[in-house]
Order: sequence, then structure tokens, then C-alpha cells
Amino acid sequence: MSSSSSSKMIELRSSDGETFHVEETVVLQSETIKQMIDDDCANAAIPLPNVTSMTLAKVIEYIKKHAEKPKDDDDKKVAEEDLKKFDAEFVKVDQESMLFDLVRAANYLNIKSLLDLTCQAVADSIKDLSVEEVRKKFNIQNDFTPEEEAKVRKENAWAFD
Amino acid sequence: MSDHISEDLVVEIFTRLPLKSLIRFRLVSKSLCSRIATPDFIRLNKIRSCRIPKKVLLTHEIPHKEGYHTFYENFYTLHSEYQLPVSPDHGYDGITPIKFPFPLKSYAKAVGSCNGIMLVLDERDSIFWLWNPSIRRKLTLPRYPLRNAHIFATGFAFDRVTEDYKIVTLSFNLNDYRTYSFIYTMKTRTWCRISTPVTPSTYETCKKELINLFRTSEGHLVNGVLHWSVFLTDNERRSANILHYILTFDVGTHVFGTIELPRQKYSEITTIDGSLAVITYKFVTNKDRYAKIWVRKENNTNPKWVAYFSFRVDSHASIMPLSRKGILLLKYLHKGIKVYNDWTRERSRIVEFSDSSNINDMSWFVESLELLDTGSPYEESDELLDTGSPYEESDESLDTGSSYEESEASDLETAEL
Repeated sequence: MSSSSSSKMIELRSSDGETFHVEETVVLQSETIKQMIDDDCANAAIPLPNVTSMTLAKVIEYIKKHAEKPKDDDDKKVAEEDLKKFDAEFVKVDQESMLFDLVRAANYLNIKSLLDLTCQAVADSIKDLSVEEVRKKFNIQNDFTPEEEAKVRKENAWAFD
Repeated sequence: MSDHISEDLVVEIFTRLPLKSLIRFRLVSKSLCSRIATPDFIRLNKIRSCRIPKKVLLTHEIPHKEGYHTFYENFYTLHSEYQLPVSPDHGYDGITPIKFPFPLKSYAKAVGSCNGIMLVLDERDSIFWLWNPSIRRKLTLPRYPLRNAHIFATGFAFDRVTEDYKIVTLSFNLNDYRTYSFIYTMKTRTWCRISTPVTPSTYETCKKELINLFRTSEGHLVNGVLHWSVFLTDNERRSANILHYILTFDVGTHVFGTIELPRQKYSEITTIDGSLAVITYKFVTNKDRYAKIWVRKENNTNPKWVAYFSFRVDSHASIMPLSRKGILLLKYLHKGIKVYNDWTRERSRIVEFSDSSNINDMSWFVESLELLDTGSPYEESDELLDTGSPYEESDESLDTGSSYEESEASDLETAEL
């Protein structure tokens, strides 16, 4: 339903060599790709060395959905609700690594709404974790000395209830 | 590509966390700890939290009797306006009370709030603090320029142009019986004297009245301008000479002004959808009255008051309109708060937090990270009974407070001009 006019197709190549054909109007949601097209670097397949085919397929699913244009005002309300539902389902992924991949891809491709959506999903999933769990999840080394850690904990005891 | 998320992206994710998680996760690593307290992060978090609806802050008090004196211990709870604690069964489930971190026997009380920071004033000693209850940080401001003063009006605002917090005061100097205005800006950390407002009638002759009527008055910030509801009389309090108006203060230019009220009578200032609004009253019987809400429509050339909503309501109840038209909070002196729905005429009483506590006030509030970088943490379990001045010991407010002494000297020089 979105291909009302014969839009130019852009070819994207994932890190593992798979190619995807997406309409230019859809792919322009990525500021990074838009820049490449503007700079005339999009005549051949655009290589995306940071994005796997699995992640890229998900990203394309997202931008395609978000490129759909409602026909009239009535349709607009329905479409907004529909989009909300789609977004909520979209971030319900089986594996957390997929969500992290999407965060990285959204950041690299510079798709603001997708970055917003995925970062919020990660934030919601970690908000009740302990400090140790967060370090493990993001592979961050604890560089506080025990004394420093005790001081910060004491000053903010209410947040560790 | 690494399987892990870069620190920049972790920060991006962290800006979307609730404040409590964020404060806890400062312990994840030293660099995250400092990045969460940078002005950029605090600002980003403020922008994000603008999307979250404002909350209703309820003030609770527990009376403590000591001989003839009663002291009130205050604490606060924060609620979504659609989940106010009206059910006795689970009214405060999952809501943590926040203790007022100032000595029980002091004269400290909240006199305004802006972006999640409360302005607290000790009325007896003219000491100001900033307090962020959401993240438990507070900051003592440099000493007020007048040592022996009665501060009768305060305004607390954020200037979006200079990205600075400002406090403006009107105070009566008990040494020379003159009125002084000062402005404090967070970035300069100094108090500066500014011209006092020129009022429609002769100011000096009615200043004593002004003090009484202004008592405990806090300014309402709308679009960079603070507003106070004022009424002036001559010294004989002849009713023919009563003057009601709104005193304004432009946070950017530091200039006072006035706005006429829709009716020449007692009016309360409030806001509707971010616009200035006032409530006027007309008594019907001793028990109830008509209240009318007026909204200020700012046309380019011709701002005017437009009637928004009227309703019949109990006398002696203060009113705070909620977001949905016709839904209000009614505060009764010493008798708690009710949610009133004018469409159904239903009143629902907000339940008390505990048997010993009373709800005594309500206001809008947002949660923010402000003061995380400049304020200092405190322990909630502290016995807050020490009423010593914060200026006597070498505490950090003096280290960071910089040039109070010089500023006082120069202020008073200008005062004598």
C-alpha cells in the first residue's frame, strides 16, 4: 500500500553480505543513509558493516511500518494506535542481544525514533536491577574502591532499598 | 562489532531511567557516576521528563506537642493526578514518603518550586535552601543581604535564555523600615539588589499593608514571568481604597510590572494548560460560593481575560484545577483535601497517610536531577533537631558561595544612593 508511486529502490548490504532492496522514501528515515544518498554515494549497494542481516531485516520492518501514510484524518487516528501497538510488539524480542543490536543499529543508522524506542525498552528492562547486574549486562568493570563504593551507597541509601 | 554497548549508548539508555534507578546506577562505574552528574545529562533528563505528565505533590504533617508548643514534622508524597490516594485500602501502595530534611523546630518552610527543586526559607533567620526531594539533595544559599528582615514575597524561576535559576524577593528591612528587593542567580551565586516594584498607588504609605497581605506569598511562573496576587489598602483599611491587582516580575529583564485582574476583588492565581489563570469568588450563602476561573489569552497586542469555567463550591476551600476541565482539588483548612468532579458533583476524600498525619497542602511537581551536581546529599535518618546556623561552620555553602561579603557591601552602598 505504500508503493503508490514508482519510488527509486536503494540497495543495502549487511555485514554478512546479504543485500536488501528498500524504497528510497522509506530508507530516508535513516539520517546516515540520507547523508550517503545526498553525497551521491548510493549508486551501488550501500555497505553497512556494523549491521547484521538479522538486525537489518528488523530495522527495515520498522522503517517500512513507520513510512506508511494514513489516507485521511479518520485513518490517521487508527494508524497512530496501530503504530503504538506495532512499536510495543516490536521491542518484545526473544533475546536481549537482539534489542542491544537494534540499539546499536539505530544509533549507527541514526534513526531517532527507533533509538528512542529501543533505549526506552532497555531502560524499562533494567530499572529494577541491582548495580552488579547492570555491570554484568553492559560488561562494565567496577572501578570504585570499596571505601568509595561504601560512601556513595551511604549518601544515597534511599535508592538502594 | 563488539557484543557490548558503548558507554555513550549506555548513557543514552540511562537518560530514560527513573530517578531512583539512576541514582543507584551511579555506582556502576566512576565514569558513569560523573557523567550522570554533568549539566548536559541533567538537562537531557529534564527535557525527557517534560514528556512525563506533572505530578501532584501532597504535603503531610505530623503534630508533635511539647509543652505549649506544637511542632509539625512534614513529609511529602508524589502521585499521578489520575491515581490520587482516594481509596483507604491501597491509597499509598508503592509510594515512598519523602521527609522534609530541615530541623523540626526551625522556621523552614517551602515557599516555591521550579523544575523539581523546592525553595525553602527559614523565615526567622532569612536562610534560603534549594532542595530536590526526588534525589535527596540540598544546597544552602549564601546569606541573605539583610540581617534583620521580613521576607514577605518570593519567586523562584528558571530563565530559559540564560539557563539559570533565579530567586526574587521582596523584603521589609526592620532596621530602616524600608522595602528592599533582591535577586539571586544560581550561576553568579550572589544576591543583588534591584528596584522595588512601583505600585499603582503611593507605595510608601501603604507598605505596611502590603507586607501583611503579601505574607507567605509565592510567585507563579508562566512563560518566564512571575505573578503574585496583591491587594493594597490605605492605612485605615477603607474598603473604597482597596486595590487588587497582579504584580509581575520578568525573569529575563528583572523588571516588575502589573496586570489588571478580571474583577476588582480577591483573586487566586493558578495555571490552566500552562496559561496564567485566576479564580474569583462570589458568595452565595455562608457555606458556598461561585468560583469562576479566568484564563489570560495572550494576543500579540491585546491580552485579555476569558472566562473558562465556573462552578459552585464550598466556602473556605482552596482550589487547584487538575488537567481535565471540571476536575479540581479542594483543600479545607485542617480538614484535608478532596477531589471534586463538577460534572458528577462527586467529592472523594484523599485518605490520610497514617493515623497521626494530616494532609495540609497540594501542588504540582515534576521529578528532576537538578542539584545532583551542585547540591549535597544528606541522610534521611538524621535527627534534624540541630537548629544551628548553616553559616557558622566552614560548610560547603561558604566555599561555593563565594563573594557574599563583598556583594553585601556593594548592595548596601547602592541601597544608600
